Amino acid sequence: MAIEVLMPFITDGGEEGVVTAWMVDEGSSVATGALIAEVQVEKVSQDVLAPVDGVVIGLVPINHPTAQGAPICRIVGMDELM
Amino acid sequence: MTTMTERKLTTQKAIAEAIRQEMGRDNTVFVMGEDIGVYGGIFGATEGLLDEFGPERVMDTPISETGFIGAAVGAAINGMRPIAELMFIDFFGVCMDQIYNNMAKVHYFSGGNIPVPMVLMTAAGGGYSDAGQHSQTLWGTFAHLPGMKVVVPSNPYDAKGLMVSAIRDDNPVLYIFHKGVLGLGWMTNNPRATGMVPEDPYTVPIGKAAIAREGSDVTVATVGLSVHRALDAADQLEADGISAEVIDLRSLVPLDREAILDSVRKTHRLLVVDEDYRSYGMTGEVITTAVEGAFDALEAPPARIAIPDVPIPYSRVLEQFVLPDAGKIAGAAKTLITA
Repeated sequence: MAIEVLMPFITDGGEEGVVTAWMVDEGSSVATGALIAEVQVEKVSQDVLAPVDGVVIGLVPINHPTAQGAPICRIVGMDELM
Repeated sequence: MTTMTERKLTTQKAIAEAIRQEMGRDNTVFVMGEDIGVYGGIFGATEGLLDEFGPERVMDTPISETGFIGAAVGAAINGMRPIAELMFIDFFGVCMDQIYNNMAKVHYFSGGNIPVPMVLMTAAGGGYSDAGQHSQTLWGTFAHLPGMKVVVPSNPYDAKGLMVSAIRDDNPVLYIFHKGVLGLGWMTNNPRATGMVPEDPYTVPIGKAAIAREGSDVTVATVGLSVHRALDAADQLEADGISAEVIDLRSLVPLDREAILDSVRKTHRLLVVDEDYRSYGMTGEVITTAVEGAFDALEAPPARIAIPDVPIPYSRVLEQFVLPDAGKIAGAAKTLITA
């Protein structure tokens, strides 16, 4: 099953955040705990780590306003791709 | 699955990873500076180090550049490998005695008996309206003064490898990162600030330029963020049928003069781009290198783009007017081709 990776909740105010850097490309394989993105809300940066092993797909564009708690990409298990 | 097929980092994270891995390898390596501990460095170069290594090896200092850079010199003389961060290179004025009369000269004064294996790490560069005392590059000032190596990475791979080399070098190394190549979220997004970085430690040799892009019609030699601008310009020039070779000098001291000469002998035209001041600086040094060593190969007088000899303006419009950019570089290259 694809796991959605979410824009973390960094502030209480409901501001939108952005992905400032993707450390992976569309279709990259990642291991659990790997750094996949850096995001920012109201000038506060935070790292986003892969919650599961798999292939990263559906990356939102850099600097695209995204609500806190909304998906920034999905990770699909390798078994689903076979 | 245990490995990633690819791993990218921002330049900022690549620097922090290099320091972290060297601190893990060698317990004589430690870091000092303003806001480098709890805050992780105002540009993130020491992110996460305090949590991992504690306050004895990651020391937040008072606003006392002469004090902590002097302390780093003393520690280096006594066998440690300190990394001191000068928050902005523009602040060198308050601590130049320690940098230039001690860090850079103790090895010479001691007849070669006392090495000073320290890294002075500092942020440089403009483009984000931070005004004339926070936006200079000033690498030419330090490259002018004997006794220090001076490195300026332009991308994540070099940033990590040059930091590892700087820490392991027995000479004092001034490690200058341009704020615009770090991949910081609050700066203008720069896709070239994120790139592949091997996880295992590696070195990039200090004093070796890199050919950032091969070309045959004109050599564009530069350093730091201007490498990105030059690569953008090379894309524009390609559309006009001009093949530009972009040389990332990576290190001002030692300067890879052979790489400059080799490229000029191939392209016969030289444009030097620098975000430092125009007069008495890197552009003059690189052009002189070409004229002295490859005069007969030159088919046009070398050209340069640099900050006109004025302080960096705060006004965005005026600042952009004085900074090198892709359009200016492409235009100067075209003028060289038709000269």
